[in-house]
Amino acid sequence: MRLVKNASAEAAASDATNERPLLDDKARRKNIKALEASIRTNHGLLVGWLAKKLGNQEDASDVAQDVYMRVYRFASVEVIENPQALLFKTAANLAINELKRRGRILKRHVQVDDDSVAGTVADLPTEDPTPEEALGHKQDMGVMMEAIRALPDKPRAAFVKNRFEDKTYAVIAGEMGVSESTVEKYMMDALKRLRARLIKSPGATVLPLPRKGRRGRG
Amino acid sequence: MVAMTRRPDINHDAEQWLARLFSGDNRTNSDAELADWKAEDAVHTQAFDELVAMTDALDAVGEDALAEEMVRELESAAAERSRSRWIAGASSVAAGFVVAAVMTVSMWVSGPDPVTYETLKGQRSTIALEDGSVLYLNTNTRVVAVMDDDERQVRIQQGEAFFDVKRDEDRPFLVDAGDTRVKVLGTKFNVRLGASSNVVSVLSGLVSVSHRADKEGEEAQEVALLNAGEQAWHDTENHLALVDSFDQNAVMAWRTGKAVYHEARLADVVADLNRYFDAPLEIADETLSDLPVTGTFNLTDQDVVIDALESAFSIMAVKRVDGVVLLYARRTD
Repeated sequence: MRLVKNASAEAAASDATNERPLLDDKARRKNIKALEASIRTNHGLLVGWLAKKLGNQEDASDVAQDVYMRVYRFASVEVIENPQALLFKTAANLAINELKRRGRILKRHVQVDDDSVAGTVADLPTEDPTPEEALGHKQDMGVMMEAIRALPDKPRAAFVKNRFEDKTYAVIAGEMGVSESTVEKYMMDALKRLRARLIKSPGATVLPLPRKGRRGRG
Repeated sequence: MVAMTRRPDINHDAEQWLARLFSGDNRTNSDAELADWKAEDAVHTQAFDELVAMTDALDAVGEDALAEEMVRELESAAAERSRSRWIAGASSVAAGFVVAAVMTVSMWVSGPDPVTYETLKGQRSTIALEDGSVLYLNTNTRVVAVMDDDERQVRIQQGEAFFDVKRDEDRPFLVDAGDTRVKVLGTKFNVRLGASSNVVSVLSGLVSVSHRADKEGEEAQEVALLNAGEQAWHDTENHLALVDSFDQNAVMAWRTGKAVYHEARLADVVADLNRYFDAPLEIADETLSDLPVTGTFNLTDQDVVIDALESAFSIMAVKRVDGVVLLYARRTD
């Protein structure tokens, strides 16, 4: 019990050093009540899901506790409208962090530096982006996210699991309860739709490819 | 050559080749076949490379897209759970985990801590709560009070208390005594936790008496709505509530250190008096049990009470070695 109290003292101390104004006690307690109710409802589901992603119960329990600690710190900062959404989002982020740490997912990603976007080596701009380019970058990211979101559920799941969770069609087929050839068809469908949205005209895609020395132009 | 005027089947073929490439199993054959297909026509190569560049670029939003997909998985699992809530199997397994999580989590809530107030036998106590309400505790009583943001709660673990509740529209005042729950906005009332029944007596205001729900979140069932001058005897085991008027003097007498009885059975009087004194009274003669007792007893000194019983009611009191005071019927010699 003493350990936990220290953790909250640490959290309070770190909050105090931030510039953001903290919520008053009443709002914070309201947040916490909402969170506790959502945690009670969703704990079993979260631990089960984490166990699937991380491969064992123990890690799942550990990460679940981390999720709760993180959302509790948030309770001091902002009114929580949708505690379940916050829990799920935090769980997804922490699961991804853990899987990245283990080298299990997003293996193609290259961490360049804190300012630029993680992408493949081919995408690296040949010099530092100008503010306009950086803004363009951000907009491109938005367009790409929208393109993925716009995919129908099954093709999107297959695409995301394969490309970003590094799962083979065999594994995906097992998870989705379909055959491998069906997964391949989902992937084809995803590629077709993404192409239609993202590759508008010859060579000039909306993607953040280096603007210098592009093949195909002119 | 422009993508728009490219024959659609070329795009389709490129998509198929790339989809095959992504399968994740080792198909060394298809690598050679792909190379052949690309070599057939420059357009093939262009269509394929474009697609590769596109999927490479999409890696930039990989983490975000994966996070969104995971949230969708969780949401659909939550929706599925709601649909099959009646399936007991899964939830009973999760229950052990839930208890552990909630206990750890509750420790971080720096809300109001519960405060315990108690009195010894023969002692009375007046407590001012932070909301302006006043608590009067009778003998041998223990209560736990929690003043929260949206409700004020006092639990009577033992004994009897009188409440003078300060009105607060935003915070109902709840009193729990065993399985009896009393809910008020602001009023004056007495609550006594008993062996078989809990008794709620209202001096002023309106009081709701209910049977506490078994599970959290469920509504308590109201058993009586009491006005001033009304009293409810709540037998929680048999789920009965008896509502009647009551003698205010009798119920509130303890506040002035007295006990008032009107045609009360000696057995009941003895049980009541035993709350106030350490040395228990015991009826040795069964014939005395139903003896009707009327009168006012001063509760400060047990010997005075025993003297009163002896003189007024033909009772002989004998103190045993272990301290128990036995009551015998006095025979007229």
